[in-house]
Amino acid sequence: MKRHISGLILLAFVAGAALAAQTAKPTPRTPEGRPDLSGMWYRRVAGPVTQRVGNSIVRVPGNATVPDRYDPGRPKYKPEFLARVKELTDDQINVDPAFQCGPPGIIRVGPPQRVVQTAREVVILYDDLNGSFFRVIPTDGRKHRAGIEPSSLGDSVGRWEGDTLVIDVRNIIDTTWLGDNGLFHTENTKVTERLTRKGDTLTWQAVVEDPEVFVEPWRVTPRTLTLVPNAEIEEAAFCEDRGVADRVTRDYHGNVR
Amino acid sequence: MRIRACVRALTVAVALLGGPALAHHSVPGTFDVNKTTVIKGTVSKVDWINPHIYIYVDVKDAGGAVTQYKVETLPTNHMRRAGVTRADILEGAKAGAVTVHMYPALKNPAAGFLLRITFAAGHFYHLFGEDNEIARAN
Repeated sequence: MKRHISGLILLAFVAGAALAAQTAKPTPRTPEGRPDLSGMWYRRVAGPVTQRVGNSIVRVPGNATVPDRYDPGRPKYKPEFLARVKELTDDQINVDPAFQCGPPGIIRVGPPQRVVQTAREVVILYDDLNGSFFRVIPTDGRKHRAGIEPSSLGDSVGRWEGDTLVIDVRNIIDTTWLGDNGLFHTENTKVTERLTRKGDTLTWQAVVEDPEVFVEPWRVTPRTLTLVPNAEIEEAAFCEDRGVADRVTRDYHGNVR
Repeated sequence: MRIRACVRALTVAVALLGGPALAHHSVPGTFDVNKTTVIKGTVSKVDWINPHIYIYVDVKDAGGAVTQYKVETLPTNHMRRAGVTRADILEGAKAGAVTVHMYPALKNPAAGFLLRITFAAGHFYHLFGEDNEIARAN
């Protein structure tokens, strides 16, 4: 047990040291002087890992004990909606749209995976379990578009506040969930994301507002991502829903995106 | 020096694996993670799909009857970052029967979750679980 805890402490120390080293690097900037968010971003903090040794793939000993999950927290629903959340949670295996290969939507899709930044817009690409998704976020003063259908990732508009890109998301379709366990929302949901690059790290913060059903805005647990050099995003493989029998389980699945 | 080596190893490892993990399933909710079973057979099909890849292994019993096992494994992007492709598995399986260590499914007797697949040529992919979970196999 002691050894186990020591191992975790060492790993946390090593991970912290690695993160600190990456934060300390200079932040690349665009010709316009903005932080350049472009790149492939690694979305996990720690977890089970493997290494290639010859033709084989071996486990890196010890790391599998590190929790490989991220807890985004939960919104506080108004009392009159708690029964609905529970009902959806209890029947998640049948009713969660993402379990049927539907788009996860914002914010369940998680932080950026691949960012392409130009002077006029920022493009975020996702290679998700449920498919390939993208967002084109204008940063040149364009307003939210009118007359378009709501969508799982909504309509995003960005602006710079100092070195932080602030993204305002509206027009989010109400058929997606905000996370595991019945986190439903309305069509009036608003999301504000903040992206801040420091060295080779990118911090993602999100606040979800849905005053119709939430007691207060939900401040999602922030995540700090690290740059993955020499890697490129790929098209997601086909997501095939093989029915309830293969969806299994009613317990916690981990918000792993 | 040792810490620097650790940092380097961790960075490499972190770069290898990333992105979403097991989002649709909870492994303990579906498979018996307290047991490891071993099957030996020929790979008849690999479904390279999300949310999980399936490897189908045909196992022949003493009487010659064949049972097809459905062995579930990682999502495709997880596998890609581990450096394993569908072609790697099919190529490895060409050499002969594979040995699969897996958590048995709780309900389906011909299904499991892959811990390690060992090819006839001797190399293996240990993708889930720890070494002691391989060693305890019966």
